[in-house]
Amino acid sequence: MSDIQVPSRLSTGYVPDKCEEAIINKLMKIVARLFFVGMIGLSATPLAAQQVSLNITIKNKAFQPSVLKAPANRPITITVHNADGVAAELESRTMRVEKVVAAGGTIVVNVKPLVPGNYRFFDDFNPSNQGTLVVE
Amino acid sequence: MLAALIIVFREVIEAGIIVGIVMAATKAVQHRGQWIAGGVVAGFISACVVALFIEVITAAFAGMGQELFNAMVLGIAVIMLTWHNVWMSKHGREIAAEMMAIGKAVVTGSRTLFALAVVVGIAVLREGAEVVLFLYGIIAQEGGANYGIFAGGMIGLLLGALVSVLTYRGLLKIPGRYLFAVTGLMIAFLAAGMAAQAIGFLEQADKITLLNTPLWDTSNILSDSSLLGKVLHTLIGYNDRPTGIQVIVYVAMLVLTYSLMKIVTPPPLPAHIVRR
Repeated sequence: MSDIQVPSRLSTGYVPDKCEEAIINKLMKIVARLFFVGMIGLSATPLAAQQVSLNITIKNKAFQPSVLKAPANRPITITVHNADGVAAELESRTMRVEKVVAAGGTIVVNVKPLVPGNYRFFDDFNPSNQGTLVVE
Repeated sequence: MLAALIIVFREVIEAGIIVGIVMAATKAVQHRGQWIAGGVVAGFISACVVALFIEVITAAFAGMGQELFNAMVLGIAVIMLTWHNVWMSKHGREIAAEMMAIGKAVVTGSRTLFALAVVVGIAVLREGAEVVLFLYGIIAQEGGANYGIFAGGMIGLLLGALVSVLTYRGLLKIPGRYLFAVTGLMIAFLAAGMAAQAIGFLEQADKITLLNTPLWDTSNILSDSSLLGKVLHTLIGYNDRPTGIQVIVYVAMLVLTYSLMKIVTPPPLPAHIVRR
């Protein structure tokens, strides 16, 4: 009985030698560092500036209001209510928005912080209906 | 009427190109017609269901349901396309041999037909839901339906089908032994573009905020909503204002697909066997 040796680390009998141990340690360190960097990246991104909320209504095939104002470099949420009986699609190339609004429905779109300028948007199902977001 | 034609055509052009590529990629595979037609029909039915429940989908996930739904179906399409490519690089030689032996429709390739039918269904679903909403809006309009505009929309749909035929015919001009290599490459770029697009939807839903500033802006040179821009958007995932994370995912997808295809490709046969 007494001459059976139980390996100290693993019951499988596998004991890493010095070289393997060094490699494993190094890998663990790299994984830990990647994880750490990732967490910093995730936590540092949002919460920067206060959000701006805007409201638009689509009525009689027109945006009301058709000109909106927002401050620069702040995230924007635009709530669009469609008061008409047909579906619409809010689209803006410069703001990267493309979202369907059902008849009588409401959508919320997120717009990233913008630099000053005029940002055009329109109804993709009725392209003559257009509006502008003025960012100052 | 012309306005409706253009609106619908712009929506269906992407699905049209994808169906054409899939038809070419499955050339000479048995029963591919039924599978692809099945994909189109299933996609159309799903599009009607999505259009019907658009408000429910929109309201889901704190108002970000549309974005997350789009990201999800695109993700499925990316997996299916990649799986097709990897499968083809593993079994491409058997298929070629079988084609040589019996001279026409082969059975071997039919395994990936399901994956490609799903891709076709998703393409039709994504574009179709908007077309259904748009056309329904015209019919249901107060003061009576405007059938002129509706007809314009239908012609737009037919033109989309014509895009499929032209894409398919064009690809068949490629000599047989290069055809699968070319369609494989196109499918790899299609998948990478779709992956980047899925990331775009996750960004719109505020689910990804890492590296979310545009890397470049080429909208003055070639807008991705122009006709050529839209075709390139479908074929290679062209985006006139891609964010950092979109570019990273695009490149990573291409590298991943290439690596997977390389790994599974069987080693070339020894020279003395080939010669015999």
